[in-house]
Amino acid sequence: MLVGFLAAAALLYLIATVLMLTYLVGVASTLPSRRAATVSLGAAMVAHVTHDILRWVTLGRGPFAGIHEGLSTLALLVAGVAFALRLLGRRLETLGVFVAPLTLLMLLASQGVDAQPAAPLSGALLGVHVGSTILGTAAFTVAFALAAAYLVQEREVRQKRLRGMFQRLPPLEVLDVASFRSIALGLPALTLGLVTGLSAGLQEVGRGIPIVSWRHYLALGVWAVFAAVLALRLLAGWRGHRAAIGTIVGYASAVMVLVGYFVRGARL
Amino acid sequence: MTEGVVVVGLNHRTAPVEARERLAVPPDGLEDAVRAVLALEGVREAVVVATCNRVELYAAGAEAESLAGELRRHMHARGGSGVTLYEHRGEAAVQHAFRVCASLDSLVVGEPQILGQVKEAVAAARSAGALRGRLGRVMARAFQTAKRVRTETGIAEGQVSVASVAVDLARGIFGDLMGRKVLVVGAGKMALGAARTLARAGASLLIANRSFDRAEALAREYGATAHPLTDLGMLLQHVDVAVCSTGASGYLLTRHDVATVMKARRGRGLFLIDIAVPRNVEPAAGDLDSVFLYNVDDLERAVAEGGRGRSVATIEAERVIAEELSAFRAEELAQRSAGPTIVALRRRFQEVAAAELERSLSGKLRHLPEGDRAAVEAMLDALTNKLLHAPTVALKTAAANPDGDDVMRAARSLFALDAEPADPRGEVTRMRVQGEMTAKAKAGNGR
Repeated sequence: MLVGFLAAAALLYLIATVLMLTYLVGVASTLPSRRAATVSLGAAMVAHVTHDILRWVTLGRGPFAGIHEGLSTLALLVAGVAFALRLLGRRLETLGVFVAPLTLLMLLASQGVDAQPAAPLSGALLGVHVGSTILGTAAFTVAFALAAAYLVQEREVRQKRLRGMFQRLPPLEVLDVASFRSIALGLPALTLGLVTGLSAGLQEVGRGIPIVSWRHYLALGVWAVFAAVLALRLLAGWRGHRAAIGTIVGYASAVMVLVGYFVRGARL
Repeated sequence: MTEGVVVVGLNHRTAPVEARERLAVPPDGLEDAVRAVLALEGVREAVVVATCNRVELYAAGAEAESLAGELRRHMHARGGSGVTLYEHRGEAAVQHAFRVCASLDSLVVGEPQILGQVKEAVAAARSAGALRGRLGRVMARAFQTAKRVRTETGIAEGQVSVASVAVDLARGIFGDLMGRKVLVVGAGKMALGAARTLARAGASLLIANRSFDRAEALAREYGATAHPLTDLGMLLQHVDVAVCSTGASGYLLTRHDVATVMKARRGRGLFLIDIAVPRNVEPAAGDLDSVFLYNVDDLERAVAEGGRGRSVATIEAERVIAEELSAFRAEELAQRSAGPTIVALRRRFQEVAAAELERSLSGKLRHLPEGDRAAVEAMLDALTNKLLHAPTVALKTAAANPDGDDVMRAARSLFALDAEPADPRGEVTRMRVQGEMTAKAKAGNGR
């Protein structure tokens, strides 16, 4: 039954992504098709939540119990942001296109991870580690969606195409500022996640068990890229195009961590 | 009468801004430009219309073919031989003038500036002594048509100006325009129009002009702040949108200037609208990060893409133009076809009067003193004129109507104008026949 809900959620996320994409590129821009996208996204979230609750009830593993659950919770959080954006305004709903496929990826990634916590963490510290990492990653996901939308919108403005996507995407400066704020929110959260994770990892190293993996290096890399984007923005006036590219590079590293989970599990 | 009218030119649809700026004529250079055209062989009348979207030479003379050739050579000499020109002759040229004045040929259909610009061109032509009749009548009719189009169709209401495209764009870049700063550089009407629309959306206005007095006057009118043009670099660091429309012949802002400004802005987006021809902003400046540069051609494309250039109003406007064109054609024809009949009629009356006067003065009234003879002659003149007035008007009116030929035939028959002339020299008949032949030949050419 668990697998059934999971498959339904994945399929519905996929349908929502395709529907949102058809609206953005102007293949289908009717109200029914837009409503269908919202309904699919909502239904996917319902299936997703049901799956997570059933898992909690039957296996006793809560939303922050480990990487598996954490990733699933992250996917749900991100889907929730996309859903909220759809309700907020017509020009914001298109951002879902950039978010929904990532939700799907996170959900799938969670399945590649063993149910056991991979890090030698337990109790409150594990909750803080997973929770703050989820929040930080969710914020970066939103920042990424905004940056991607910025680049698409910027291309429309530069190529002087004022119909189509130009009218369906939010204004450039709104995207730019919102992306900045998302990073500013995500960075402290991810910092906390990294510090808790690394401190535990280093304790293990101290005990002679080197478990600092490629993922940890990559996670540090993600953190460094976002920190650099934020710093350059504040100190060197990085805005718009360059900031968007930086955000996307940073997030691409994060996605690689997710893909890594899916392909190789939480092992080294 | 319109077969000798020709227009040769280029506009925003046929030539890019690079070509148009080479042919641009500053407003104070219009009279000289007209004189230069007037000096061309075969040109009897000329008007030069030069706006940021078009440069057109209208001319009237004897022979359309050679006239058009002369105008083409003249434009190629100034703008380079690679420039693609369009050309209209005869009635097509008249129709083109009507459409231009009615703003149907404009970048933004329905925009009101073009009529004023053509009026200025006509005034310049008049003061250069380049309007003698035919072309003057065409232009006067074009103004009348434009007025009709404006009042009878919704073209002005449905007007999507460059201004509203600019607002759409500014919203797409900045979102809410409340509290944004818009700088107008120069005092072009279109630029001020765009700025006013942006101001209505909540932006505040700054006006910079070479003449500070002018900037101050405009600032009072638009509720803006006035600045000297020398402050441009500093101003650009603080505004969000800049609309440039100065008459500067070179770039007012080079890529380097804008790059320097962007450094000081710390990457904040800058929307530059360059509606000047020649252009005020070096095109390469548009490649800079966070700089969005639009010139007149880009705006044109934006308007066309928006599908907002055409509407029911334009269809109505085309109908008005077709009506005016046919009325104008009829009037011109009437002037030709009624002319000979009226001349013949007048001559017939005058001949009869002269013959009767002669007979009486050498017969029964032989005794009249010189003064009285003159009085009788004057009385006969007055009588002739009074009697001729009504038929003259009626013939002119009839000639403009489809059944005019019947009235004309009736007049000729009633007054025996086709009979052998009383005058043995046959002048009247010869004149009329010649007149008719030319009229027919001309009507044939004109179609």
